[in-house]
Amino acid sequence: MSAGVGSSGAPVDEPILGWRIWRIAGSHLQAVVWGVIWEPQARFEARCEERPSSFWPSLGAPEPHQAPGRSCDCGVYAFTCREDAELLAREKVDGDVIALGRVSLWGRVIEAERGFRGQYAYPYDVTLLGGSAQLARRIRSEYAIDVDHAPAVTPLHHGSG
Amino acid sequence: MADIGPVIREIDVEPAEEPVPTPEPVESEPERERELEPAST
Repeated sequence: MSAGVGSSGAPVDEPILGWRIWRIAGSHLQAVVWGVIWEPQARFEARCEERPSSFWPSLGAPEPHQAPGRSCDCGVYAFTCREDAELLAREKVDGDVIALGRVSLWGRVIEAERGFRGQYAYPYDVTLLGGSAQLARRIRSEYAIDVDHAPAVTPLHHGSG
Repeated sequence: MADIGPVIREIDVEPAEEPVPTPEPVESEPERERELEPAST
């Protein structure tokens, strides 16, 4: 029996790998949207930050729930394809050093058409876009993952206007 | 927020071992010194 929309099949016993980006803060990986640091050698756990509005308390604010919520936007995001993560890097880069790479997701995972939202996560391997080989070595040492180094990406808005 | 499209399904992912490196234990100085001391005669 295959798992359809809204159903869960048998548990999967291997982490799911997806593609995402981080900013580099010092020698740490930092979530691009929320600015949260991913601590080295510790699993990252998603938490839903949605809060009921004090202005419109009755308008559809989600009840407190464990991330990722099916009908919420919370969770650790990852794309299925590297190209989508690369495009996001080009949109978000603004002189920052960006880490592009794969992330392991486990726990409760929501699969979507172009990616995933996960409960627990840890980086699997990354490529530093910008920065230095020395910085890549420091991150490799701290997170105990493979870290490559490549030239910085060109922002999408570079030279436009 | 990244656009990952409509939800397909929920998956329970339960690896036998979490894919998180185990921090190496920090060796305390006294222990290291004891290891370096020559055996008493």
